[in-house]
Amino acid sequence: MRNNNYLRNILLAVVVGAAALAALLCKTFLPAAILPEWNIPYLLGLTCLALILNHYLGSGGTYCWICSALLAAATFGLLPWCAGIVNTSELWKMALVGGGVYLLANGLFDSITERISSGPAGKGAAVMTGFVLFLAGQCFAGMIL
Amino acid sequence: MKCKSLLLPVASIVLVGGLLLGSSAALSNIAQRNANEELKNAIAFVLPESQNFIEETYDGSDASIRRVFKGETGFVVETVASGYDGDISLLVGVNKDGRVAGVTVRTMSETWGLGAQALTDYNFLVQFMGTSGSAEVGAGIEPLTGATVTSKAITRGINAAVGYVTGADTSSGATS
Repeated sequence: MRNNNYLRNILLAVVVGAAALAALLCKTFLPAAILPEWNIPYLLGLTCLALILNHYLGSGGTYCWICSALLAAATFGLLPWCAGIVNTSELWKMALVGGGVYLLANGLFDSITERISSGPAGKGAAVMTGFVLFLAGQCFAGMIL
Repeated sequence: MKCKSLLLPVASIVLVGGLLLGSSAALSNIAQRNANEELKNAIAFVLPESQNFIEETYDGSDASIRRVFKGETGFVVETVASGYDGDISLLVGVNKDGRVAGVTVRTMSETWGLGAQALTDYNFLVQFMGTSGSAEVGAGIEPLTGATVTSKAITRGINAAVGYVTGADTSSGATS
């Protein structure tokens, strides 16, 4: 599995699945809990987490970015729907937005991490990039939405 | 080769999706039971002097009123108001004399540290106790610090609930 070119999408499925399962369990056993909305910053956070894990676990390799984005769209559309977090009418919107967020984040993450990972301090480049991307996305979403 | 490398991610999506579907189906009865219990507790919390509640149909003109429950001493009205970042859902207990008996915030997605304080800031919520539909931020109601929009939204929701009971909402069945 580590040598799979699409490990990032496998990890994204795991991360999104874990988040969806956590939301499902909270809805079931803690109905009064106010859960975070599956909005753009949240999707971006999940994407960044998957990309960080991919950086440390993956072995590189080329991949088709369109296929990867389509897989991400399927992940963000289907998994929350399976957990009952979104209904059928919102499934397409979630898939579209999720796919778009992943596409942007994926490109930016790889570019930035590549440029800032040099020397011993470069080991933390992926975490820093993911964190900064998440903050930037939150700020951006707050400004335009 | 390209198709083979796509098999694993597709399989992982299908597997995780299947697990989630199965979990959702298995937990649905428990979730429904817990949700009903929690709603019952929340309703009793905002109108503590009533024991039994019956849900009433509301087909009125106020789009902010979602559900109405009638108790022996008053009504519990679920209202929704547009906040800073999405809708804020409230349960408001109103006595038959039109005075607010209790308020609880059910769902919101306001800014953490600012509007989200409305969930737990009892000093803010307690200001609405005993009001009768004329609550106004800045005129008797101190808003949450840095969260005027959220404060006004909650005030609107509470006033709408009182309006249902007092008849200010003319389509209300509360005063018939």
